[in-house]
Amino acid sequence: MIRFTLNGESYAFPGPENTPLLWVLRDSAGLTGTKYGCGTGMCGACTVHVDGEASRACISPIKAIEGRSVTTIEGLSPDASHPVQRAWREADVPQCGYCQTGQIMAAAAMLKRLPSPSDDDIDRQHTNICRCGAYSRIRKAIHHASELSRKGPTGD
Amino acid sequence: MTELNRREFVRLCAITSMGLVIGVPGVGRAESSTRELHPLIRIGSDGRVIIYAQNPEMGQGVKTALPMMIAEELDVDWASIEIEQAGWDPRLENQFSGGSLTVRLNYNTMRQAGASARAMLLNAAANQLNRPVAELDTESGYVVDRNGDTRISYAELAEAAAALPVPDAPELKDAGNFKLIGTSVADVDMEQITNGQQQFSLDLKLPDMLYAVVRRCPHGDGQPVSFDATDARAVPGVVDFHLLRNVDHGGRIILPNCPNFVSGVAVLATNTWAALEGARKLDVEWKMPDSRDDSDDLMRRFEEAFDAEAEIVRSDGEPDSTDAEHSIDVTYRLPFLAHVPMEPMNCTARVDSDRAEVWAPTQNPPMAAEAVAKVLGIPQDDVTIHVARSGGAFGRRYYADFITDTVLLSKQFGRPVKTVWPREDDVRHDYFRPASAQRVRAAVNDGTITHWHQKVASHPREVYLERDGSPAEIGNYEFPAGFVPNLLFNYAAVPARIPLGQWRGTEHSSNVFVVSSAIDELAHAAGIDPVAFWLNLVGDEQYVQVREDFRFDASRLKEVIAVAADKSGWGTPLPEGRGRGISASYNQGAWVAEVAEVTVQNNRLKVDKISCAIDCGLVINPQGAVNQVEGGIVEGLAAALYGKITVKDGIVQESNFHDYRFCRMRDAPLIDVHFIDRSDAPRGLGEGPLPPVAPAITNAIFAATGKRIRELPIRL
Repeated sequence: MIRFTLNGESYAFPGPENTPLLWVLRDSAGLTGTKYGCGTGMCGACTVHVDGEASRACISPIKAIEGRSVTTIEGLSPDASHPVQRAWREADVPQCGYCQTGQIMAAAAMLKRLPSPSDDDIDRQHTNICRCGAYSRIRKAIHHASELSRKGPTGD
Repeated sequence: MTELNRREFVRLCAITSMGLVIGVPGVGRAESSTRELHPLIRIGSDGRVIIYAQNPEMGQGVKTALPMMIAEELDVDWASIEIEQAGWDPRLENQFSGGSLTVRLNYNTMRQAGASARAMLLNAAANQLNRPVAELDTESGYVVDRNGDTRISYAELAEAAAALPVPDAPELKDAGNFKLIGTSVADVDMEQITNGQQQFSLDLKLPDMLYAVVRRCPHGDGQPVSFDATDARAVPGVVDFHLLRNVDHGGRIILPNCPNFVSGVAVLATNTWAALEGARKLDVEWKMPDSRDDSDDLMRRFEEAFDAEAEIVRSDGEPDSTDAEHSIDVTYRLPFLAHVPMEPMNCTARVDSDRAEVWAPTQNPPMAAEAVAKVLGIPQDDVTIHVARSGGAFGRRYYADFITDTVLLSKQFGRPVKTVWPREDDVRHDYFRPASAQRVRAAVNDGTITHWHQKVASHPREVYLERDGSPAEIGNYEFPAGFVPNLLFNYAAVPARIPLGQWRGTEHSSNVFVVSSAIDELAHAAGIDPVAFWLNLVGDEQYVQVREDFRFDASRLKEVIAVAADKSGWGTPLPEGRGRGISASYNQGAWVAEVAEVTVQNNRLKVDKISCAIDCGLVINPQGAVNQVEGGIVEGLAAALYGKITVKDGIVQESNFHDYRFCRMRDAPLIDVHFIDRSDAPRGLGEGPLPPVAPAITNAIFAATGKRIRELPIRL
């Protein structure tokens, strides 16, 4: 039994220890906002936060998560009001939308580390693939989320 | 696909839905509290208005744009309505997403749907009030008296309206009176996409469902002979195995309009990971087919075919010039390309004794229904197809191979089954954009192209052979046909068994690279500025009769070239190592021109900016439309920089994003999109922006470095 904290609550997974966190989240915990894209950590569609850091769940065996704290898109904010989520909506970022939860989780983790990223920072540090090619809007939304975070939750 | 091919495309799609019995429950959730005024419109006595998006959403924005057209005519407040994805419904026409046709084909039918329902509500109010309908009008969900003293909500009228006859030809608004069409609206699923609640097909879980992963034959035409499941059976959660042989169902590429799955051994498990691990640990003996294509060898055979007898697709004048002022004789090479949508192929099915219920991320619900009925041997009216929002598609989900295997597995095990494709299978077992070699011999005299001889060699997409009298890979109407007095198009078909399919931009993704590159080469050979050369080639006549039945509006091509050039700063000086290139095309009814600005430093390429001007007629949802253009440009960039599928011994060598790369943020250029303001009916938008990207970039590389790139992907 592997125990860890999932979106603020304790969670126990009884299955094999090599099961990637991605499939524990999706098939056992029923949290399907974390997506399967490549299974090899290259695309970022499965990005979650592990102890506050962005992590690719498809290559994280659940054994390595034991005792740690995992946040998924479902737990990023109680009412989808995180500045990154708000910025994503205001910029109308998604095309198909499939990778966007991973994009949002990656951007949220980056902004915590780097509250006002430059374009160059975004180029180097935001590495998730958007197969639809919504990069212009993702970049714009990251900058906008940075502004919203500085203004605080009420936007003033 | 060009405008001329649209009829054939529609015909092919229509064939797939022939012979259906009307009345199959296809439209999603039938709400008991609501009444159907049209297969796509339900209104409830509680005030709910549900509009169904007829065609599949795959990121191109039609789940937003189609209901906008209905809401415009129905006269309801956009913010107050609910929007659902329609399931397969044989009462509906054109229920597929492909060929940049969704908005074009449905612009009138969606508005008519809304206008019919509005007319029924007006008639119901007239009956209730005992007043002539001419004295009544509508206002955002209410029927109102023109004098302003009566106001009845659609909710109160829905039941009576639903019982009235549907008017044949309801009056439609003039474009000048649109309130919603032409305004920017966010994607209707925005909330769920950003909070993680959006349900894609892969997210579906049915009670008692098994998860399946198929260990597929590396060669698409091969078959499993036997397998040893000792190690696979030891994986916790693995339940059972099943040999899946496509030979019983027509093979993989023998039935091009109903393509079939790749054979293999299915592993059934209680969760996805167990199925993936089980499939990995299977030991399978394969029988490989005799035909073993090799993509490098195929490219050589394409070039050899230039000298063999080739089909004449179009012939005007005397194409081969003997004493031209300036001439080129060059060969371009284009690779196979995969689709690789971010959501890998998957499907969920529940097959009972004589019924099939399918949840699929399909672009083509009617063809999915046909394919399911065929492999199960049941009538189509016993098939239900629920259409999920697709995590990208780009042409891949037009086919039904990822659906047919799933229904067979569900039938075999008598339980719901979800089949999940590992990314590696998604890359290997695709229906690829055809590779081709193309040779252009052309000449310029007095600053004008006088001769153009283009030979295309590829292996053909069988389904579209002989379309409109042309092979699928080059049409007899393609630019610059009609603009050059002496012109010859040849096509040489080279047989091969690599599965081919529709890829965003279809044949234009190849041909626009060749044509826009050759025009640029000719401009430079003649010492003429490429934009001036293009404008001169397009000429001053508004219309050019390209073919007896195809009159081309050249003025609209000229305008997009001029706008793209102007917005890009064409002609202003750039520092050493930087350059601009132009390309233009007419594709799926839209005119597109793009200017790329690139930097080449230390033999490294950076695409800095793409300026795009596009004329696609009326734009329904401007901010959604810009998203489509940006997406098409990034996809074109990815193909130009990275896209190449390699086949050795009949087996695709690439398998995932490390060797079939796509653009990331650092690759993405600044994209500047300009729509030409039009009010004529919408034209194709989804594909047009892609094909001009690669030649704009390679022409810019030439401007920056003097190096001519004639093969994709770009290698400096």
